[in-house]
Amino acid sequence: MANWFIAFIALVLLFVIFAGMVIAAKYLAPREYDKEKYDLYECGVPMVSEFRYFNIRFYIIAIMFTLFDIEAIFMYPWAVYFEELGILGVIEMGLFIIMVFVGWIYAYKKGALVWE
Amino acid sequence: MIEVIIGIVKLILLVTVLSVYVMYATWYERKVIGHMQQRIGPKRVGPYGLLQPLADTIKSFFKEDVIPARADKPLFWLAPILAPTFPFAAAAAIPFFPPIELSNGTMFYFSVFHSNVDLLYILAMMGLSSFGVMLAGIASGGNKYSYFGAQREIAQVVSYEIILALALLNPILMVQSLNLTDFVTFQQQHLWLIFYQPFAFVAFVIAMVASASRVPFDLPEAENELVAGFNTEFTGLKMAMFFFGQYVTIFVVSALAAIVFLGGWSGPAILPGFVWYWLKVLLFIFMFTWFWGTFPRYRYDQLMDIAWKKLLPLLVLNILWTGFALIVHMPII
Repeated sequence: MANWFIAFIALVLLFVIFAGMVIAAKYLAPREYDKEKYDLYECGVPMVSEFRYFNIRFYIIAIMFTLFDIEAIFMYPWAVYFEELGILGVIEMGLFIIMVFVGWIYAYKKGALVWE
Repeated sequence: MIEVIIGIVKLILLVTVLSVYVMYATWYERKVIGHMQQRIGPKRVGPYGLLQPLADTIKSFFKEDVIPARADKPLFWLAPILAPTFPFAAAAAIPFFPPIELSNGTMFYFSVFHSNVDLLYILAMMGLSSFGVMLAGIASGGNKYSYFGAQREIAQVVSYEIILALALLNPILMVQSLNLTDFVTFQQQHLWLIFYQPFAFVAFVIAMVASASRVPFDLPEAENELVAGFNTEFTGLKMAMFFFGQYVTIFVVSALAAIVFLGGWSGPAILPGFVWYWLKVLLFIFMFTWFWGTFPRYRYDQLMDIAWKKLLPLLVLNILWTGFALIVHMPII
C-alpha cells in the first residue's frame, strides 16, 4: 500500500515542482505590452481566421483506441497466468481476439482507416 | 512512514539527475547531429560547447513569457506543467541501478516506486502524457497550427500506445510477470528476449520512436508543414517544458527497451552489471539521434497504416503463436 501512496505523492510533488518552475520564470522574465506581440503568432503572417475544430477522423481513431486498449488490458492478466489455464486459455483468448477483430474488419471495410 | 520519506528523497534525486540528463541530452544531440551533417555543432560556450545547455536553461528562464490575448489562460498555464509531469512519473518506476540486498534481507530498489505491476504503471503514465500536448493545442486560442499539431500528436500517441502494449505482451508471456526485476532475472537464466521475440522487438522500437514523436515520426511538430506544431504559441520556459517532457519520454522508453529486450543489467562478467545497463540505455538514446540524422519524415497516412493495418494484426498473431508454442512446449522461432 505504501508503494501506491509514494506514487501518488510523487505525482503531486512533480506537479508542484514544475508549477514552481513555470511561475518562477514568470517573475524572472521582463514584461512589456505590445498589441501586435500579444496577438496570435502564425509564422509571422497576420491571422485570418480562428480554427477550433477537431477532424471527425480523429474521433474514429479515439473510438478504435478504446476498443483495442481494452483488448490489450484484458490480455495482460491472461499473459501473467496463462500457464495455469493451459491450452484452453489460449483457445479462449483466440476466440476473444476474433470477436474484437470482427470490429476491426468492420472499421476496415467502412474505410475508417483510410486517410485522404 | 520511513518508506515515504525515502521515496521523496529518491524523487528529488530523480528530478535533479533527469534535469541534468535532459540538459546534456540536448547538447549531445546537437553535437552528434552536427557531426553527422559535417558541421561542428555547439562550441562557443565552454570547452566543446559543454556549458551551452546551462546557458540555454538560464536563458529560457529570463525570456519574456508571452501569453496571447486570445489564449485560454488557465489551460495555457496548465499545459506546460502537465507535459513533463507524466513522463517524470513514468520515470519514477525505472530502476537506475540493479537492486541490492540489504543486511536485513530486504531488497533496496534504485527506483522511486517499485511494485509488481511496473510495466502497467509505466504504460499508463505514458498514455496520460499526451494530455499536456492536447491542452496546449486547445489553449492556443484558435491557432490552426497548434490545433493540427495537437490532433496529430494525440492520434499518433494513442495508436502507438496499443502497439507498445501489445509488443510488450510477448515478453510478458515468456516471463509471466509485470515486474521489471523479474525480466532481468529471466534473461540472466535464459537468452536475452530479443532472440526469442525479434518481431516484437522491431515493433517496440517503431512504437517507441512514434510515441516519443521523434524523426521519422515527428509529424506533430513537422516544421515545414506546421511551423512548430502544438508549441507555436509558447515562449521561454513554457516551450522548454515540452522538450523536457519529450526527452524524459525518450529516456523512459530507452530504459524499458534495454530492460525488457536486451537483458537490463545481465551481460558477460567482464563489466559490472550497471555498466552494461547504462551502455544499453545509451545505445537506444543514440539510436534516436541516429534516426534523426538518417530518415526522412513519414506521411501521416503511412504512419497510421503502419500502426493499424500492419503492426496490430501481426502482433496479435504473434501473441497467439507465442502462447500456443509455450503451452505445447514448441520452440518459438
